[in-house]
Amino acid sequence: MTNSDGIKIPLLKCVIFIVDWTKAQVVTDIFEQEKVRFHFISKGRGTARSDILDILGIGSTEKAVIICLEQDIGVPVLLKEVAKKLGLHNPGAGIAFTLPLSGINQPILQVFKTSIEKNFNISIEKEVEKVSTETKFDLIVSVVNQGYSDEFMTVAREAGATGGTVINARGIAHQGPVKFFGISVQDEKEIITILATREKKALIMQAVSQAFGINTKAGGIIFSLPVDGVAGLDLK
Amino acid sequence: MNKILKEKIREAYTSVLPISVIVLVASVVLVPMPTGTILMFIVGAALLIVGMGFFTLGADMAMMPMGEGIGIQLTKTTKLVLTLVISFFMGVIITIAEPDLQVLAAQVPSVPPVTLILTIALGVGLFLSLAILRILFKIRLSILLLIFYGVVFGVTLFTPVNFIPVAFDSGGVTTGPITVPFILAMGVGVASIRSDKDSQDDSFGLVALCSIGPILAVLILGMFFKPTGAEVGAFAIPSVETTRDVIEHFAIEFPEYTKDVFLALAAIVVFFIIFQVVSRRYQKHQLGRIFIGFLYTFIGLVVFLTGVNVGFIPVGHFLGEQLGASPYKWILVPLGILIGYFIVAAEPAVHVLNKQVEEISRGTIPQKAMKRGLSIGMAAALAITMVRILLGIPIMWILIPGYAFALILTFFVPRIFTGIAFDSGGVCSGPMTSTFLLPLAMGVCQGVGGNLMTDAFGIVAMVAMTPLIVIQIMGLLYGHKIKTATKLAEEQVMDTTGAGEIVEYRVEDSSDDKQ
Repeated sequence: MTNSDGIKIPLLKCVIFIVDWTKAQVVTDIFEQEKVRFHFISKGRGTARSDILDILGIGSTEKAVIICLEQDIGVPVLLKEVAKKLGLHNPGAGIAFTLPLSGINQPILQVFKTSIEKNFNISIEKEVEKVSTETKFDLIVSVVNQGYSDEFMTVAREAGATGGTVINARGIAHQGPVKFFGISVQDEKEIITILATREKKALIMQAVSQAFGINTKAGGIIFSLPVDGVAGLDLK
Repeated sequence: MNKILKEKIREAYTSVLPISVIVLVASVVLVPMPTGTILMFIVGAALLIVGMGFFTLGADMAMMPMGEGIGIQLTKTTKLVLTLVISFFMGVIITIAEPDLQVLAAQVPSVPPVTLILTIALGVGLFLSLAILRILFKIRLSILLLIFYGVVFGVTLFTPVNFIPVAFDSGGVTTGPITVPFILAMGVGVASIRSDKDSQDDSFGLVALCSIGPILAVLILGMFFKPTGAEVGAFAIPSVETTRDVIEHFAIEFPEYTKDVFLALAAIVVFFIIFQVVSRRYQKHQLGRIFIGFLYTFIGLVVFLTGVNVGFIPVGHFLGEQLGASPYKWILVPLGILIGYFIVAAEPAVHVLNKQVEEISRGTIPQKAMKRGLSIGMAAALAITMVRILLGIPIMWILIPGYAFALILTFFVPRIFTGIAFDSGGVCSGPMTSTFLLPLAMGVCQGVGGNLMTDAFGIVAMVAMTPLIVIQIMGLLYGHKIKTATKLAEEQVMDTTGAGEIVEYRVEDSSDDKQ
């Protein structure tokens, strides 16, 4: 792909890893080694497989949600490396997937320039493995008010979801925050991400929108994103 | 096996095992002990592992979400007076509930336990609302610490010398396994809905201020009550001959701790129910989990406290007394360092702090680094205490330069480390300190023939002081690392030409979304 000036523009992907919190260091070490720029770590909570385990407190595990940007031809290498070190094919070990970008600001792209040249040469020398663009998965992203994620997952699970990750977040309202002694007080939100096969996606989204949609107390905003590369999810 | 369960069990036994091995080796090599005492110690250690596992799981499930929720909800009300009044009552209730405090209160002569507990509770209540006020008004923690420690050392001039170690001890002891998870989480909650850039730094420091309250309160109390010197009853090693005796000793104490912990938690549960009814913060599912969490906390604390009180006090005392009276007194110093290094992991509240630190720093300050820092701090505390008892050095000679150094450091250390460091002082001095280290120090004191009131008491104060310095030094090194990293980043200046320009990817380039 080239822009109007005829300069080659690298195609970037947003790569997201969701792994055990204790394994986050392993992933960042791989990033260091593969020279991945811009990665962000946030803490999430894996949801339990059953209600009973969850109530007993031995259901949900702590997860690290690691988001990074990588050039499309670098992605398979990265996914393979992480999958090898963490054994992502084992159930519950973690998942990784990539999301397509629709735009990025220029300075960030500049940073990738050196690696572009290198990767460009590689891709000429030999046929580089491409991430399959035949996408079978979607990422369902739901933003709900604090405290609803457990019930939300129960409904989602009944509709066919196999698991999800909850990230605590702060909402920033249209009107601007309430001020309390100069401190802006903001709404707490929970972001629930569920990776689902395309067939199951509609069912899950329907179920959760009905129970936790924008008109309910949970005030959920629910949308899905196309996912193009997946590692570590043994779904049939 | 279940992942979390496995993790908790592993965490519990790796915390308790090293210290048990050290004591067992010492009992074979240095001080031969009666078999019964050792048997009680082993049973105690086993109970400790079980109790610790349940407690940390319960703290994760109940105490932390609850403290965080209350902190958030308080700030959301945006009513200052209400916020302060509720924090005050929270501080008072939770302090009265703290089992560590009852152990200490029972050991202090001349002052009725109820008076002492109420005084301390008032101190914590006042300082908890003060700490909340600090977060809201964004006052720098180190300035408040400087002022209040200044006041504390000023007041010591007017308090009887015998009372000073007890006062400093109560500051450390009050912040034990029930208060710490709650107060820590509350700070995180209040700071979490602030969206300015310093909010992360202000997550810590609540425990730090709450530890000053009791010191000041007890010092002031000391002006009115005149304690009459070393009246601490000499400790008798319980006679144990058969295995049945061992179990009997535990069985007798068990209902006592069940009652204590039940009352303590009941107060908190009642407060929580009122909070839930008013705020309706938690949904059905979360409520279920929180109540199971309370149950775990309850089981964990009862088992832990019974184990440590019955199994560890006699061994600590015996070990100290025998070594103190032996010609190889000097061995107490290296032994103290060894014990100190490993015992910190057996304090339940330490795990809660380390976890919270890792979480708030998003992993940049890992639990491992915190653990090592605290271990070094504790080792230093025990080394100083042993030297102090052997040579009879007055406690103020160490406390004043120690705190002065710690306070000076606050101005050079990244702010978040000041909060963590001063919190860790209170966190390190929990039930392990009051049931193993204090008897050890008292034993040494008796063996050497020193003054119990001025020498043995004060070990908690040491444990509460040295981590302030060690963790801050860790912060200095960390700050240095960050600085060099940013310098490196500055050298590779990012090209900002076309900063507002957006490169668009066409949809067909990225993915074939056929839906």
